[in-house]
Formats: sequence, structure tokens, C-alpha cells
Amino acid sequence: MSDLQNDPIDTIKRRKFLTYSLRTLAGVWVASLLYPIVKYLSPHNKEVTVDVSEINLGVKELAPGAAEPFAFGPKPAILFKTKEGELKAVSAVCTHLGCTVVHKDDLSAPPIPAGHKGAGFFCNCHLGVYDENGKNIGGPPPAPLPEFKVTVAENGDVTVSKS
Amino acid sequence: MSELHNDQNKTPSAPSGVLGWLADRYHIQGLIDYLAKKEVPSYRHSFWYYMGGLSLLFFMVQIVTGILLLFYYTPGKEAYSSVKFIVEKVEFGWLIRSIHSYAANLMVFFVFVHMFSVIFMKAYRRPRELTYITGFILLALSMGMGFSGYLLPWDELAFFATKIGMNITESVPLIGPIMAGMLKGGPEVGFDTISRFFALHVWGIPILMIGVLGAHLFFIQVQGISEPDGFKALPVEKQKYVKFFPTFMYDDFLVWLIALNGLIVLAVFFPWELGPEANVFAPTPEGIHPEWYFMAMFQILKILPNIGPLESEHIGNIIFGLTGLILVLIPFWGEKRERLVSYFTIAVLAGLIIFSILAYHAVGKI
Repeated sequence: MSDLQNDPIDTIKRRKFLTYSLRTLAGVWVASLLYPIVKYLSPHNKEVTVDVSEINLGVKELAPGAAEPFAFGPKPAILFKTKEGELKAVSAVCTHLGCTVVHKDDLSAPPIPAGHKGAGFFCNCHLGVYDENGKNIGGPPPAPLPEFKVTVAENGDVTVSKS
Repeated sequence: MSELHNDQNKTPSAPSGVLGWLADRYHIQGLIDYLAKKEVPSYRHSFWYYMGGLSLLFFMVQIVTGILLLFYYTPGKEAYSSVKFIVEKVEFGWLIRSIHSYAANLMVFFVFVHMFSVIFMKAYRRPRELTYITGFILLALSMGMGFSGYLLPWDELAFFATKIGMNITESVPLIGPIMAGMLKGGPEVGFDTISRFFALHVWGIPILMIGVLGAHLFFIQVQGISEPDGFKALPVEKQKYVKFFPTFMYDDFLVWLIALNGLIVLAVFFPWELGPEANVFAPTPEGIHPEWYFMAMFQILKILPNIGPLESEHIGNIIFGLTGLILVLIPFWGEKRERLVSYFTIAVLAGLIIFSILAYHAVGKI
């Protein structure tokens, strides 16, 4: 026994073992403190369904060129009727940094940068411009506004779904 | 290799790494030398030195858990439902709230123990008068935190405890009614009161506490820890000291670790309860009583008579006010009256314990 204690290599091994054990224990302790905090801070609001695939807007009477905002799950979207009378819907979340775009009858009017015309969408944050179909045509947006599928039932009920 | 050699040539206290980088730019070398030399006396009663540190630990626990609770808590009309949401819906919400409630009580407890031990060890003597007074202010602020935090869940107990507290405040001559009015924010304790207590609880009092605490700790660092008479009377070779860094600090951390684990065990196995929502028009429930640190005052207020033109709560105010005033002025009583200080403090401590026991007996808890 005393031989074992005096053996320098064995003592180092034992010390290393104790050091590692202590560190592991400390790690487990810290993790067991952090786990509840991380869980506590994770989002909890389950009343808003994040995963919406379809929404019924009821009967919508829109004149050609008119638009109306609606909520697609937790996110803003816009229902609009083109001059040709086609009912369409796009996400209103700007593809640049997530501001909410607005539908414009006339893209040639200020504050929209010059060089655009006709109806379309405009983002007030960084002056992003989209055409009538939601295609990005000016400013920083890197991609078009995602389009939804719009179906109108016989009774006039408008349903918007992910296309 | 040459770098290593250079390191060895430096004076032993010259720091390297981040400290060295800072020392190159700011005049902190003196501070580093000072802290490296700092020593704490080690003797039979030195465990009392941990009481202040424990109060500090629980204060830090309160800041962390308090911030966490703020993520979900809403003052005003939704106060009760938001606490209910924390306790019942949020994962580990019950645990965070439970820890916050227990740590609040433990903080007040250790601040009390710290104060009494400091008085009995005569650590309030010149030149430490301001350390003592800032400490006393911290005790008062801690009780203010306890009182203001108690209302926030808006359960039955919270409501009536605040009502009683506001009535006591109102009975203070001249300024009482004005103060009570400003705290209540309306004719009665209600949702407006929650918002006001909330503002005081999460900003008003804490910011004062952090300032006063900073001064308190600064005084202690500058003057070093007090050495009691018994230690000074020892022959020099028997006066043992330990280094503050790292010996005392590690000891302190070990005590903190034990305290923290104790706190978590309490909070996990005896979760703090949330009573039924306060109903302003319901009768006060039977056997209602405040937290333990207000129990002695509660009992004294119950048994005080009305004397002549003085109503009992006026007499109570006088007694509590005078006791506080005498306690806070202890450093200025003078050397000749130190024995009197001890007797007075023993009397206050005995009074607190006896009246608290009587109070718990009266509500049928003992």
C-alpha cells in the first residue's frame, strides 16, 4: 500500500483522475443549472399557430387594382386584384430584412425611387420595389415576394394556401 | 524560451495576460499589489465573515432569477394570470419563481445575521462607521424589496399584506398619508399599486441597492476586514491570517456552492405556493400573517394598546422608528457605552425572536 502511494507515476495518475473527475462534476453541475434556464427561455406562446398552410378569408369583393392586408398565420400578407381582374395573394414580408411591404397603385409617385411605373409593392424601410406580381425590380430585395395560391369557391369564399 | 526567461525576471506581482494588458494602460498596479497582499484573519469565529458574502450571493441570485421572471411577468390587471402562467405553463417556471421567493427570504435572513454578528464583534467601531451605516441601509432596502415583491403575484396573501403595510404607512404623522397615496396610486390597494410596486421592485430599489452595495464593498476593501478584540489580544505568533486571493475567496466560493445547492433543494422539494387570486371585496382569510421578518412587528402591533390620544399603530411606529434609529447610530454611542450596545442588541434580538414565536403561536403555526 505504501509502495503504491510513493510511486510517483501512480500519484500523478491518481491526481489526474481526481482533477478530471472534479471538472466533469463541475461541468455536470453547471449544465444542470443552465438546462432549466434554457428551457425556461424557449418560446412558449403556443396559441399562435406558426405552421399555417391554408386560410379562409370569407367572401371578398375587391375592385380591380385594390388590395387588402390579411394575416397568414402569424405573418402579414396582401390579397389584391390585378387590373385584369385576377385575384392574387403574396406574402407582405419584404425579402430583404423582413419589414412589411405596402401595395401601391402607382410606382412612379414619390417616395418610390424614379424609374418604375404601374402597380406593385413598396417597402418603406430600404426602398425595395416589387412589381405587380411580387417580383423584385428595384432596391435591395434579393428575391420576389412568395406568392400564395388563391381559390374562389362557388359561393365566393376566398381560400389562400401555400402554393 | 527567451519570453519565459523575461517572465521570470519580472517582479513576482507583475501581472501577465489580460491584467498585464490593463496594467500597461491604467494605474491598477497599486490595486493589484494591494489585493495580492490582502489577508483575512483566521480564528474560531471567522465563519461569521461568510454572512455578508452569503447575503451578496442571494442578492445576485435575485438579480438573475428576477430578470428571468421579467420575461413573462406583466404588472397590472394580468399580474396574477401571468404568475400563474409562469408557474403552470412555462417549463421550469415554478422552479425559477420558487428560487426567487426562497432566495429573497434567505437574503433577508443572512443580512440580519450579518448585522447582528457585526454588532457583537464590534466591527462598527471607528473607522468603519460608514460600512455599518451603508449595511444598515442595505437591510432596510432588502426589507423594502421583500415588501414590494410580495404584492406582485397579486394573490390573496399579497393583497392583504400590502393593505396592512399601507395602513401602517398612513399612520405615520404628516408624511404618512401622502406617502401611502403615492405608493398606492389610488384610494385603495389595486392594479395601480401593482404597477408602482413593480417599478420600485425592479428598478427603484435595486438601483439604490447596487449603489449602496458598491460603497459598502468598497469601504471593506479599502479598510480591510475588522479584527475583533479577542483576536487582537492573542500573542502575535498565534494571530493567523489567510490570503484573500485565493484562499479566502475559494472558501467563500465553497460556502456559496453549498448555499446554492441548499437553495435549489428547498425550491425543488418545497415549491413556493401561489394562493388564490386576490379579491378586493372578499373577507380577509383566517390566520393571515406576513413573512417571518415582519412577524415580530405584526405581533407587537396586535398587542399594543391605545394610550390617550395615541392609537396603537402610532405607538408601534414610535417603537419601530426609535429602535431603528438607535441601531443605525450604534457606531456613535461612544466607546464607554459598548457594553450598553451589546445589551441593547441582545434585547432587540430577544424581542424579535420572542415576538415572532408569539406571533406564530397566535396564528396556530406553532
